[in-house]
Amino acid sequence: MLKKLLRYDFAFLFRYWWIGAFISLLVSLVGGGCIYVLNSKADLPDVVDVGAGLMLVLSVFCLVAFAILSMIIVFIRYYKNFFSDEGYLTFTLPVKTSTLLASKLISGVSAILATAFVIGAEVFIMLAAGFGDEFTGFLEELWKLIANEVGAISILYAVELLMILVVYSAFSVLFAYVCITLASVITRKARVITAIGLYYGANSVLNFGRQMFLIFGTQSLFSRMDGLSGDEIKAVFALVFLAAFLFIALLCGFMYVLQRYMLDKKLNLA
Amino acid sequence: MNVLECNGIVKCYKKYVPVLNGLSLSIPAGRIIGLLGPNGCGKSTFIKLVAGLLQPDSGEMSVCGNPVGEKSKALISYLPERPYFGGGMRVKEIIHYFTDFYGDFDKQRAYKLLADLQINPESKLKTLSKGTKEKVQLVLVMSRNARLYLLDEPIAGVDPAAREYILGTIVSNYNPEASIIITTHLITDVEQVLDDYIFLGFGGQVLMAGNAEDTRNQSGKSLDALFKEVFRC
Repeated sequence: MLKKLLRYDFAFLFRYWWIGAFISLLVSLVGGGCIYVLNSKADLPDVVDVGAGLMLVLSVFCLVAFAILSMIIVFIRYYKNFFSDEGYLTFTLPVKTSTLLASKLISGVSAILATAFVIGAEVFIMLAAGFGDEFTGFLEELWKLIANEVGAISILYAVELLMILVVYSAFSVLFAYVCITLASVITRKARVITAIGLYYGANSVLNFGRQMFLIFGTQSLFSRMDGLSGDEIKAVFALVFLAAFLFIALLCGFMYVLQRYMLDKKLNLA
Repeated sequence: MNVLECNGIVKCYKKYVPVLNGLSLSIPAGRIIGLLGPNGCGKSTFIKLVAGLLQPDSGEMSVCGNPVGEKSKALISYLPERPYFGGGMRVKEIIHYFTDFYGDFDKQRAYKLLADLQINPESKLKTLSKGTKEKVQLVLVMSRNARLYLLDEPIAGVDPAAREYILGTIVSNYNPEASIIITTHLITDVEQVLDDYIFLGFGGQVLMAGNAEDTRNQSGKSLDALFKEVFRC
């Protein structure tokens, strides 16, 4: 049943996503051209410079809009499928709640990761097209630095950071899902507004906590690293990344359980 | 084995205000039952509980021996009182969706019923009128070979001319080993197809229940007249 659910979820999420990805790709090329113009030594009229600057801002805005819209589509799918009238069909399908939720989670995380990948590629294209040799030179320097200074452990870092990216995407999706579900549990009217309010409220608290942790955690970490050898410092960073991964995974687990509880016991369709 | 067994079902939306207060029912196979009662007496709540959309605060429910859950949902064909499809879907896509998820869905029957009701399978749902959407939903629900059909106000939104066809469809398309529970306010219209009836009072109390034909013969009144008498304001 999960496969069937995923097929419908993917069909919905990616129906228009391709168009957005294609448009943003074109926009990234335009943005690259603008950077090239702004970076060129040629004596161009001010109008061209201003125009290129504005176009560059617009290009960046388009990429951000693509990212936001992709996320909004994921959340709309979740809300409509579960809490609008469609919920009467969704929750009467001969499927476990965990399977319904798994489908929404997998499709949502896939959409977000695909968007992150496309935007990453587009930023790369923009910079490569805009800065040309300067950018490739910078990448070569960066690669040398990683290879020489960090060494073999950089592969471990890359794997850990990739794991953090995946688990953080899952966290972002689950966090929004929990807010939408909670809003639908506590009210039958103005559910969308309530969900947005809950999301911003909870996100603000979370951001505050995250910043406090970063400030004090980083200070504390660096103060304890005095006197450690290079290899020991590398090992500490590997452990920090692993701890971050485990912590986010734990939060995901908590939110999944909360989500299951609300859908199983507190479902409150309009 | 009874198709539906409910024992002491309690459901409160707000604390200490039970919509259903200890409702117990047994529905045997092969019956069409009218669940009748005034607004707010808990008919739709009961249907939602059986369909698995709500959880009872206490009590037990089973469909063909299966507690409400994944297995019972595969045995129930539920028609809610509102359209539940996204407007962007075509009728044939919805049929495909049902074929995918319900092993007991009869695609041929669905297309035949659509043709009888002159509904084009290529039509997008958003282009259809409210009544036609309800007909599409009823076609989907009655094209399943389920063991229990839950029809919440199945003819409320359709024109009187189509009601007869729809009721005929319900009677002629359900599996004889199955039962149908119909909730409606249009008692006069559905009375002719009901085998049994249940008058549900506030708090989910069963005020009267029995065989429709026997009750009519004994009281000399139609169910509609009896309903008006029992629930007179």
